Amino acid sequence: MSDADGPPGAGDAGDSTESGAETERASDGPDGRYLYCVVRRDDDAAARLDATGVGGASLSVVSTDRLSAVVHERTEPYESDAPDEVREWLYDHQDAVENVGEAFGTPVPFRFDTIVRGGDETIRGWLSANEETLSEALDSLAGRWEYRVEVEWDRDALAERVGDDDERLAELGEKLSDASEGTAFLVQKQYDKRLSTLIDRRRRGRSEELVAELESRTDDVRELGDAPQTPLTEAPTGPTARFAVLADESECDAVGEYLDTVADEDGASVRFTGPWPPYTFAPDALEPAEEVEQQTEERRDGTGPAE
Amino acid sequence: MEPAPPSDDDAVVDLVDVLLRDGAVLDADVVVTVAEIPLIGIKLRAAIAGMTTMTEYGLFEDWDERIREEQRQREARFDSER
Repeated sequence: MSDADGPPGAGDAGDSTESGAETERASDGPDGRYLYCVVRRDDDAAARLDATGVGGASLSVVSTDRLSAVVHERTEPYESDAPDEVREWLYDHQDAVENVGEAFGTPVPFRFDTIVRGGDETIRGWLSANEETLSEALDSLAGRWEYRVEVEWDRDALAERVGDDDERLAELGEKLSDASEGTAFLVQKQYDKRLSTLIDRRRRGRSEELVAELESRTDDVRELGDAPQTPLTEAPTGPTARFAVLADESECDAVGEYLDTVADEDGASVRFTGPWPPYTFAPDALEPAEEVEQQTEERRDGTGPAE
Repeated sequence: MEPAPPSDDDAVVDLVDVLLRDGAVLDADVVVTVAEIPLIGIKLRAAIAGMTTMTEYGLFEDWDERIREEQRQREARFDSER
């Protein structure tokens, strides 16, 4: 898609930069690298690595003294509105990072469709410039993987439970059975509102319990909000809580055991998936890198228009 | 209980969530992709949620185009600041 190449009508100030960039690109050839993840350099693991990337692309390992990036040659982002095709790409990406992780240990995973302008040298430069931050991130994630936990409660089961010990609701219930046809509508509304409040409170309480329990068993826990962001499967109908946890193998076992006790309470159903590369935790582990990176880029691009 | 592996059908919702929303990101500057705005994800989500009618009416295309325009302007601003 030519869209990604340059901003048509991007403004007057951009013109000189544009032509400058064009010259650079022409001398280097159109070069780009799809970046999957960063790992500690390990030449044995690199030799063992037998994996392909998105769309069957062949992966290459680009290394500095201490770090390696796993990439494939690609200049344009992947674009499609065909769900099946995109889903295949996502699986390809995931498989690649999983294979790399098996060979090298926990990677710092990058978001799908992250494409760096430039070739292997650019990647090496970037690895070197961010070596400290990337190394620290790898250390902090080492031996741990991400797991996703989603708990969905059955609304009716919750309603039954919360209704039992709330005086206000019991009061409204009595009032409702005594109410004349005229006032019943209003009382019903009050009743429903009270019930919703109680259910929500209960869900929040259960959610907090879950966080505390998960925290006591793992390295790190993030709340992900209660609605799934991608309605790929049917959306949960009941109150839901979602978490990402960072755990090693034994911590993962402990989470699994705990989740067994959660299932069935208040009609809860539990979805537990993983191990994922630490997608949720990587951005924070890398936080300071982006500043360094930006500065590096600015230095590198110092040939831009005069200020 | 054992976690369902990422290849499991049960995990597909997490697959899309983690790959399109999470993961480390590079500066828009270094990267070719439309950073932070996973357009593929939006199209994918729309199609899978059965919101094809919205796509038919062009709502997503408009949105898509608007996001791209914003991105272009951001990039242009970035260039002119140098």
